[in-house]
Amino acid sequence: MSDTTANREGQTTLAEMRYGEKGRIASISSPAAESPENNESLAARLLELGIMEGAEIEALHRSPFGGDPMSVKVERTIIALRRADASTIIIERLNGN
Amino acid sequence: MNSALRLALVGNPNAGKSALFNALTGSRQKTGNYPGTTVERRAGRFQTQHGLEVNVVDLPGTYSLSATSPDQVVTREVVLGQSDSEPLPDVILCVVDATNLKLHLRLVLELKQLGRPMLIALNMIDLATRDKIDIDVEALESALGIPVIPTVAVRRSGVKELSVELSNHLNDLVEEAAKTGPAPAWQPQDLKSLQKEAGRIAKAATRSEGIEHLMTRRLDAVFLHKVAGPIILFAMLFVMFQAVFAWAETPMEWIDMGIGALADWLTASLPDNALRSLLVDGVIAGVGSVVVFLPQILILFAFILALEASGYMARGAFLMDRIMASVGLNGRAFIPLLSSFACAIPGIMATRTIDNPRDRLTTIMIAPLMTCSARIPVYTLLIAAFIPNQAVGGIFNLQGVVLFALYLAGIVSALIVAGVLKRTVTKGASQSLLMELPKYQLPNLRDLVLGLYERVKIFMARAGKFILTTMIVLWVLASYPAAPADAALPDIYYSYAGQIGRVLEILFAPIGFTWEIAISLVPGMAAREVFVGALGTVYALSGSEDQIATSLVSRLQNAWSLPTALAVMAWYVYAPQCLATLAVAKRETNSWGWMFFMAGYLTAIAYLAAGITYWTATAIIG
Repeated sequence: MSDTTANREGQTTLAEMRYGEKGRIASISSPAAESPENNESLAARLLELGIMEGAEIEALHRSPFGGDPMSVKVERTIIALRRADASTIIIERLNGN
Repeated sequence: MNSALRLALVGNPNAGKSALFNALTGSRQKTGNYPGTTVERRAGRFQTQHGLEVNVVDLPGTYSLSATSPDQVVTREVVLGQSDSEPLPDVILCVVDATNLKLHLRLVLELKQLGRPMLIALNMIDLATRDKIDIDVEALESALGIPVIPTVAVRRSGVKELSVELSNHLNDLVEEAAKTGPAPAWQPQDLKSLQKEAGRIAKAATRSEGIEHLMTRRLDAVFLHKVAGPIILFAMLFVMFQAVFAWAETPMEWIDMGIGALADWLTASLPDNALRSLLVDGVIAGVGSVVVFLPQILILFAFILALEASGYMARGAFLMDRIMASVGLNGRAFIPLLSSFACAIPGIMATRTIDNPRDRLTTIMIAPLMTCSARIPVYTLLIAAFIPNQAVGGIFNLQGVVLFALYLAGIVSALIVAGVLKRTVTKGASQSLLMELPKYQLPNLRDLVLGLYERVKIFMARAGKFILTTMIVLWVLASYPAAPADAALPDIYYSYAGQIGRVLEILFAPIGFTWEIAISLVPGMAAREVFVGALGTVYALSGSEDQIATSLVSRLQNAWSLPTALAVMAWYVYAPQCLATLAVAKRETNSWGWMFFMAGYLTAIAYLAAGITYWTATAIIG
């Protein structure tokens, strides 16, 4: 679990997941943000909602307008987030899907 | 202890905190001056079984004490005893959603670090049972070292139990509270490790994980459906606005008749003097013409409260996010903007949940463009007087369609203004959308009734104080000085109000406004619905005795041309005619500049829109 490259086998980003797909959060990457504070607050706010490494996550609905934002289920909480933010969340696919 | 015990309700958003607060205090509660959100201070009282008086304050929902949005900062300041307006609570009652224990326990652990007397309400235990979640309350208590009380806030039986349990625990905690001296120390916690600890405790105390809450999943499959979702949202808004018109009709007729009867009775039983004129023409005509709109305002608030309580409102925000994003805002702005349909004041205050300052500023600037309930009296009056009550396309009513068009004009303008602002004055990176979609719940009747009761109180207080005062001042201005004996025009033409109106007429004549309208716009600055009251007063005074008996509707039909009526409607889509909104904009932006910017740009658009409407309508009708 120490290697968290998005390209690794069995890994994907939350933004790529389709309805009903389940996984476990491997890491939350910090891509080039428009401003550093912006990104820091994003990570903090994801954490507030329980989005952190190790949490189970399931992709749910996408907006009818361009598929952005999407809704996901993290543990027992349903959360809406935009694709740009979802693509920073690296997922380890769970078997049996 | 002489003074009452101070109890603070703290919890994650959607933990059922407000419902619990309502259940505990019933009608013994006081909300801040502004309806619509829990952002403002909600406080109440209740008495425990042991006769202990308890003051409860319902703090804004927060996921963590290190949260940064303004309403969550309030919660942190209060529990840390750093608030200027709220003393340090004696006991914290942390409300926890039993169906989402892991996430909610993290806040419990954060609060525990403060070392203050604390209790936990394990709320929505009925929903947990339904989902076959089995929590070992005793194990949870011993793991946390804090008393845990299972509760069902929405049911009377669940509350009674809570009241007894609270009573027992609070008695013990009173002494502890008296002993604890200084304000608690706090530093930001490592949320990750707290989250892990919360996960461990939740897991150990959960005997059965339960099944998934299927209703929410099934409803989301419909409400967030690619095709059905937007159609349902649009239909729901349309029904809401049709209902405001159709359902309110009968009760409004009753109120109207009641007011008419009261005016007749006073006219018959008092001698013809200045006092009778003040009571009948000033007070009854003015306040009555505003009170008559109470049913419509109630229906609108009922819809908004029910949408919020059911969990649908956040889905609306989800669906609207893309449209909001196209003008640089995010779906979160949908909730303040929808609240602004009731009143811009709670709407502007609800922007506190938007933590990007530029997005928040843009949302504040466009909030007054959402048609607030105070505009309903104006629109209703003018539509009743000038738009024929006929069917369009078989099922729709032309009056309803015009009302919908007025609302739509405000919404479209708001999006355009937001787009322009985001490209100019509030330029900058936009905050992303990140929000919880709460589980669906049937709105609780008691919470709805209490919420509506608050609105009625606030509305009637406004009608009582604000509007009554304005009406009396206007009556004086409209009655004195008296007209000369050989007057050819109505008496009011010679009064102070007539003189002010004639000066303003120079400004407003190009866009088709008469001097009577110009006069009514002045008190209408205080609040929009006062415009109707003012018209009532102006026209009641400008005719003879028997004309007073005829309703304002037929009065206006005789006095105004259709282009003028349409121009006034267009004016009211934009005009910033509400001092309270400007005051709250000043407070929330902390800037006179932004307040004047708001007032200025809205007035400019209002004038132009009214002008264009008037000129176009005149050209078409001839």
